[in-house]
Amino acid sequence: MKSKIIGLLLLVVVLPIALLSWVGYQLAQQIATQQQEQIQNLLKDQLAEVDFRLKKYFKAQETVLQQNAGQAFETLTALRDVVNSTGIIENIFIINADDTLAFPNPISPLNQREREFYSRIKVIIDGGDIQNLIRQTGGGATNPSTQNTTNLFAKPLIPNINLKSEGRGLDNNQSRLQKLQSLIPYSNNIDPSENQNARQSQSAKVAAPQYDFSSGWFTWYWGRGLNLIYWQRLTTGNIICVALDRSRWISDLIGELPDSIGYDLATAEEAEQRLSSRSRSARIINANGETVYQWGSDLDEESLVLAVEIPTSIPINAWKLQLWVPPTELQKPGIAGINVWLGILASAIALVSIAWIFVREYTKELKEASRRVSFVNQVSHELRTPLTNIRMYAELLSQEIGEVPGLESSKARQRLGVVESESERLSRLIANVLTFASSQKKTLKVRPLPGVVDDCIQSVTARFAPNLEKLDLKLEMELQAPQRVLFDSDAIEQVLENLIGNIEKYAAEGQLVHISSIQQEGLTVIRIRDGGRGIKSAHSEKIFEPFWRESNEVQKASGTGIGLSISRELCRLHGGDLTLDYTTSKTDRRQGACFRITLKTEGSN
Amino acid sequence: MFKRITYCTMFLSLIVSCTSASGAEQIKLNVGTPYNYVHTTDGKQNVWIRVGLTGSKMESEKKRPPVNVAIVLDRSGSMKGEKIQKAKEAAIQAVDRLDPQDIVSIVTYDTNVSVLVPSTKATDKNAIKKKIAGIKASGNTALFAGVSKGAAEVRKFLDEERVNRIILLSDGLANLGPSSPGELGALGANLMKDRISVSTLGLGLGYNEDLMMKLAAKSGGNHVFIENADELADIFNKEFDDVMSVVAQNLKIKLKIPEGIRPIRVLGNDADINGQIIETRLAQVYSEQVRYVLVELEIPAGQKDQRLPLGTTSVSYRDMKTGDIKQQAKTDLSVKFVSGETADDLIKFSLKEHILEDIVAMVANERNKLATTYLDDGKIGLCIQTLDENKLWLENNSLKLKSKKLETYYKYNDAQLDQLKNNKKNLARKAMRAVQSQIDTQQRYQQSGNDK
Repeated sequence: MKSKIIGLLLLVVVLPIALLSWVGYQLAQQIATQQQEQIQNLLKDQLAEVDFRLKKYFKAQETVLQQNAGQAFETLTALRDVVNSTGIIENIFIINADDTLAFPNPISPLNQREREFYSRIKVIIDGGDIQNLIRQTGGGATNPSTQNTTNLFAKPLIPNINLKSEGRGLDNNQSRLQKLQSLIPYSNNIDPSENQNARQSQSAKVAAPQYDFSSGWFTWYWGRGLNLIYWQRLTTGNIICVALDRSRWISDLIGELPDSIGYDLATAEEAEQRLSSRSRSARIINANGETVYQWGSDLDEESLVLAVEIPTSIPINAWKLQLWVPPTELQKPGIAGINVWLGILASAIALVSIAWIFVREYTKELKEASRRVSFVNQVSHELRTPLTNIRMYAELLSQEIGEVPGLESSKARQRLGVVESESERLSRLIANVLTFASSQKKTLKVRPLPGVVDDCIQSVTARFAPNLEKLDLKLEMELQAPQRVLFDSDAIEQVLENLIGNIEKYAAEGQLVHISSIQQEGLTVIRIRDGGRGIKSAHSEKIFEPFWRESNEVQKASGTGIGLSISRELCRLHGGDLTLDYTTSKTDRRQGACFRITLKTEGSN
Repeated sequence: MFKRITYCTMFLSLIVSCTSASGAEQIKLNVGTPYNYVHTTDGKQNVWIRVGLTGSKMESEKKRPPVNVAIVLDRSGSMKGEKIQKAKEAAIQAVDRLDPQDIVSIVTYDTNVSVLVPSTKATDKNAIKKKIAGIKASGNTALFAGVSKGAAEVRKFLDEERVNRIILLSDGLANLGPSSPGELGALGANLMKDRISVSTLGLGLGYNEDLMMKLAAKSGGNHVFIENADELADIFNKEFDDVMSVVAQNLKIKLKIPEGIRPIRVLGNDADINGQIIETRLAQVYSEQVRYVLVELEIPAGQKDQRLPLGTTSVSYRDMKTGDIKQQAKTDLSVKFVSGETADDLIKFSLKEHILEDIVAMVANERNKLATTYLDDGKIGLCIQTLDENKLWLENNSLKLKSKKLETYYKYNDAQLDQLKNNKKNLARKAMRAVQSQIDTQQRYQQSGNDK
């Protein structure tokens, strides 16, 4: 009983705590990821700011290049002057509207640098990569006479696409290129000589499709890595491609980026943020994963972890910006996570205290019950001594009355007999209470002796007869157990006395005590039925538990509360049982409770 | 090839006049051929032209042009100890030489780059020196980034009337960011476009001499190999001597060669040969410096007594004294074809020793570069053989022309040979590279290690 309760309590306490912990863990996890994301977003913002500087740099270069190389060059000297005087320009090549290369022309006198440049760019021009890109980006002709061409490559599909020349489907490009060439009705071969401009304007007169000015970036890999070309399609259709000096723009980017002493971000006003950024290291990484430049923390590579990485903007979108931080910075214990655990702890404490209160109440009741038992026990002991005296003196009195002549069969003698038997019953009751209270541990014993069950019933009913009469209870008996069998008549008498006593106490209003007995083979069954309110079937077992009462009405609670419990035990010691019987009611008279005593009774000869 | 050059230089003649128009010129342009006469031949022959520029003497250091200098110091782990200490001392001493109108910035680099002193007027020298004294060494070598940051600082006050200079000190191999000689050379060439020169000081035996040399040569700066950290202060001093004695900057030399004559090559500086026009740029000419480039031409066959004009040479430059852009030109360069009995004597007596001396020095230098290539290819035998021949040729010419300069170069060759034979390949190679760039650029100061 007690272990069951403890088990139940554990379940009630442990299960919700476990559940809460699980939910809490999930929640904390979620919060942690959220916080990590927040931190990462913050760091990403920092990188985005850096990226913005790079973007700004390339925007500025676009302006420079449009100013310096955004027009048709009148002479080769003019072109060379621009190349020589503009730091960012490594060299220039010009593509005609029909996709042929106008400059540098390998047949014309080129200097060493131009020849080297030509051999380098030849690949991307012959492959048609750059022409295709420019066409896709919106270099289409707007003249109605060349409608076919414009329809094919009308308006910008994607602005500023960046392509690597490596691994491009050259065959495909080639075929598109040829197709386009056949559609353009004129050829514009510019000889890059002093009279370039004159010839150009001449050929422009033949057929002058007007193009929208467009420009953009082209990237390709050569030599040490990424190379940048800024192209501008003039309205004449000529494309001026400026190859940027790789060393220069990398050097400029490094110049734009923070150094390690002045490492502060534009928005980092808070000293705290500046402090924490000291431990961070930012890097710009090229397409091969090599660090081009890094700034920030002096900490070793090993003591930092990669927190965020973003691609840099066009045109160097093959590169990446990285931010490395000390690992501790990413694993900040979340305050909200702590709250969750605190909540769980609080509810666990609440649950445990509720369980503790519950257990305390329960044990208090148990203690009270046992105190009642010990009280009954004490009282019973106290009662025994005077009772023994009463019995002794009653016996002495009956002897003395016997000696007095004329009084042998007088009423006085009869009444004395009642006193004697009642006090005997009382002492038995007390003995029972003591036995039960002393331990409950099967100290009850039965001593089966030969006897007749019906006789036993009759002697009990005879004793109760005056009382039943007084309470207006009608006694009906159907006794069919006349055989001489082995049983403890004292015990059975006690059971019967208890049951009839109960009827007197609780079901007197039914005005009926019906006792029947039957014997078959080695089994004797006694039924005792009353006409009272009966007992709910839900309580059919509980009434046999010690100290249990069906009703709390005080005036009726006059017993010790252990009678039925003892009775059932006595019957079970006979190999039988005492149960409530709901099935049998032969008569249709008022139905009360019906107790059924079964006894294993062997015959005795 | 080598023989051919000798032949040509021996039998050419020269007619040249090179008088300066006014004494106030900062630059004196000299254009000449070693001989005034050439033999008549059936076929083509080669002629050398020497274009010389002599810086005038700076009147006083008080009147020197202001400088805009970035000192870029390697503070990588390898610099620990004496090296960084000496470098700091040298830099502090250099800062002391600056005047309030000068601009200086200090950049240090290891894995990261720190702009220790952003470019500022050299007024509060003590604050600058204090910052230099605090430099500590550790980490990798982000050389490209260091130079880039130095360039960014110089660009803040970029002014053609200043001497814009980055002084780079490194003792190690660049190992973070772009690190190839090609990339650093390209950076140098680009910086020169903006009139910024980089002088590279290679300390010890650990640095990449090709990278350092290219960076200096392409940007028009000096390159020195410093074997011992003790020399640092002296070298810094010499470098600042140079920086503070620039008399002309941004020199554009243009040769217009008549049709029929083919330009073959230019020695001594990068040049663009655009058809009949040869263009080359020099970052600066220092006070009293003699700077020259050599041009090899292929001339057609000529008749006896025919005078062949070799074109016009012009130079434009910024006069650092006045800040103006000035120009000079020489139009009367020609050779005369001779034949017959007196031809040999005519040619012989027309010899200009100092021109032939320069031609020999530079051709020998090309041969020295070839020897370096052999060394890199692992052909040590061929390398030693080339140096041996070169040494002999320099020795002969130094005696014939009574040239101290050729004798010095002969000694350099000899020293390099010794180092190679003693298996000091690294040392030899660094010495070769340093001398090669010095001859190419007519650098005024050299490391003491090569003087022997």
